[in-house]
Amino acid sequence: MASGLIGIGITALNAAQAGLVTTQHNIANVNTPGFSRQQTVLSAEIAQYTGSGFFGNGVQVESVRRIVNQFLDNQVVAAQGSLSREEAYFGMVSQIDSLLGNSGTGLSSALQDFFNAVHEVANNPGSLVPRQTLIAYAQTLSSRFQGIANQLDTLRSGVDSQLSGSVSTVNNLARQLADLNNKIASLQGSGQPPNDLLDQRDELVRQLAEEIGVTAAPQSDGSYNVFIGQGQALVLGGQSFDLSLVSSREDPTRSVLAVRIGATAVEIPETTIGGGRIGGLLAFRSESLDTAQSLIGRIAIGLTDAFNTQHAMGFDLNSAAGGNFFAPISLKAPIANTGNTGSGVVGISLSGIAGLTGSDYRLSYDGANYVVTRLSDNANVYTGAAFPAVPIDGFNLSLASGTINAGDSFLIRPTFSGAGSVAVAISDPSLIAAASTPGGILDNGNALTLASLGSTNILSGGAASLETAYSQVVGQIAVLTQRADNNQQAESVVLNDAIAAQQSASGVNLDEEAANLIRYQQAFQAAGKAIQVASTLFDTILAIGS
Amino acid sequence: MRIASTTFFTQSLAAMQKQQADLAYTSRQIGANKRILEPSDDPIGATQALQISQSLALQRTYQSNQTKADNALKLQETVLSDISDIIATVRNIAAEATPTLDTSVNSQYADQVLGAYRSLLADANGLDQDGFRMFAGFDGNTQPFAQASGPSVYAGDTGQRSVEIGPGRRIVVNNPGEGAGGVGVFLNTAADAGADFDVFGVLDAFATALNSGAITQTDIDNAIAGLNTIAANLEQVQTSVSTRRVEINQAIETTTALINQHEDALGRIEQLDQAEAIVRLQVQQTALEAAQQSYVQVAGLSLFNFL
Repeated sequence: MASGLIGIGITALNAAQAGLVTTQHNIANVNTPGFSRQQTVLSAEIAQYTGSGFFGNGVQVESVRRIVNQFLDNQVVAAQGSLSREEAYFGMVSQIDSLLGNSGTGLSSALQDFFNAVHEVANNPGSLVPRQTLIAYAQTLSSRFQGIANQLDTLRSGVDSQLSGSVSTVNNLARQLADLNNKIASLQGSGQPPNDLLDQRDELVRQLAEEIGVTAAPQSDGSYNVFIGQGQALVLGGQSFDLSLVSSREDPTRSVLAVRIGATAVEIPETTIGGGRIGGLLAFRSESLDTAQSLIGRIAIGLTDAFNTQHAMGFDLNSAAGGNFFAPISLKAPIANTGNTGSGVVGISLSGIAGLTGSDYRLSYDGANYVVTRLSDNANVYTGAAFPAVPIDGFNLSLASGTINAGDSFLIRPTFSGAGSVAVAISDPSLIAAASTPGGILDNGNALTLASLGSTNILSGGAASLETAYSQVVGQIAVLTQRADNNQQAESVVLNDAIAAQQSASGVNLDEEAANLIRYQQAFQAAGKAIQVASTLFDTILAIGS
Repeated sequence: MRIASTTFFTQSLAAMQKQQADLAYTSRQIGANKRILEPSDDPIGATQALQISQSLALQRTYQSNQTKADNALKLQETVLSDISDIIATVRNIAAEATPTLDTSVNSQYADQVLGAYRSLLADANGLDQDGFRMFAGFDGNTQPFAQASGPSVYAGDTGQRSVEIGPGRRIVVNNPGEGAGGVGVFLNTAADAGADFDVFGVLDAFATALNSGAITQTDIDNAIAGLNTIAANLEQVQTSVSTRRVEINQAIETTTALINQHEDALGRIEQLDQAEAIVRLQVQQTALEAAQQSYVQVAGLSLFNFL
């Protein structure tokens, strides 16, 4: 314990120096992400009792603390998760928006040109020129479908590659966080807070929130447990659990998020992953990408089926009955769940384009009943003890081979692969069946009916034409894009405000630090002066004897 | 309120980025002269615009079909009027011919009737604007009247082709050589409805009688009766053609009005209000400059400058 004038002076010098060091540290870290400003905590030394009262013993430096507000920190983490999600979603969905909306890549103008060309054949059925033109426009239309399908495929693999990037970032951050947890827990025992490590740890949580929605639960030893989804642990104390991308059991072509627990990877249900880039990408894939692909596929199947059916009713320039104008498109084969115990293979065929919805379906068997669920609205469209043998929403199911066991399920995406399958089947213009009776080269009866298919409501149970169905897809995607854009702008304001509020508590203000420098400098000078005075007093005493 | 030093920079930066994004958007709008750059800019407007442009494309198809149909019927009108003139000439000859006239006069008449026969044959085998036989029904590559003389030997069929000139509105654009009264131009046999007639048969029989040197009043009466039936039929065909043209012209007016309406509506939805956009651009430019100015001012402030 310091005592006496010099001793007190030294405590004052130490305190001022501690203040200067902390100020320097603050200034040095003004731009360090996640850094919270620090303060020295001072208190008066225990005073010395004398008969004349308590005499002060100077100052002691109790601790260095960081200025944080847990509530504001949590807000930043939450806002960061929401913003990253919306940014990832918008970044992807806006590409579909431009793809479908652009007249150079969308279907609208290609459909118009195609049906206009059918009219031209009707106007001059005997000549090869309009027939050749029709085939050319049909090829343009089919390449538009293909182009959209390719672009959607590219976006799908883009989702996969971004997911895998995010997953390795998450794993990396989770490992660092577990390491920090260990360090913090051991240093916490010293009785003083490891401020800079705590800052680093908080910053890691914020970075994790960029990738995936997380909740952090502070533990008594100062470490954080971090959870994703519905309470799935990512970090528990010093242990982290790796995420990975695995083939979905429901659809092996689709990669889904899984967490590795021991030796097994457990699928994390997509709907439980809220925020972050991963949350945004998963939501985009199931909500926008799958929907757009199936709805465009429905238009492709509607066009080829309706046109081929009518075309077969007519006769070509060689008086032969019309063949396929477009290559027929089969519905996508139902996908057996990889967990199925039965050997059942389910087949699918088209029963009528008007019934097709563009939704996905699930066929499941619980041992008593077969149930077909339409996934867009979760409606059970078939329930029965027998395998469904009636048409469901425009398709028929069949048990192609094997048996279905209780607990087996199949994913049905009837129109999913439609757009990529559009192809023109004929190249010889004389094979266009414009005539309604064989023989007459100027007979355009069938061409007139074919031309009217463009404006006939052949989809959605007779409520939508091909072009209306297309504008509905464009509208649907546009609304989703607009929503994501509005959300990302709103979330970016929320995040900026949250950061400003959090920084207002924890951030370094250089003017404040400049003032502190002066303050501690003056305190240091004053303490020095006091020691000088003490020394002068001592000299005075010594001078008495000389 | 306490403000962290970095907040000055991040907030000003965010403000400048926002202003720049707005400015870029407006200048893209002005560059494209479009209010809606992507469907998501205005989903409802974009969907409406798409539907209107689909409808517009269909109306333009109808418009081109109407022109095409009208041209086909106009050409027929000309040919039918020529045919009608020829029949009238022959009728005048029939009116003047009598059994008592000099043989040489009647044989001159016969030459004129045979000339009419050949002109009619040329008309009957004529081509339409696409190069197909106009009066062959669906059988456009076949010469419909193959005989050089004598009654009709019809090689075409009775097919009638339509053009769609409006939603569900189809107009027949040809008349076959053979067919029911008011449809067939040259020939109507027992197989078809209405009174029988054969233009070439009547002309040939009349010319043969005139040339025979022993033409009877019955021959002349038969010729006149036949020509009358033919003329009445022709008149029916001509009326039908001109009625169709009237119908087409009405459809043209409707379609033109619809196209104008659609174009207006599309313009209102899609087109940019240039004046508004330019004013907006200037406002945004000013805001960006202000954000930049304030950044520069604030960035220069520091207590360290005074130590």
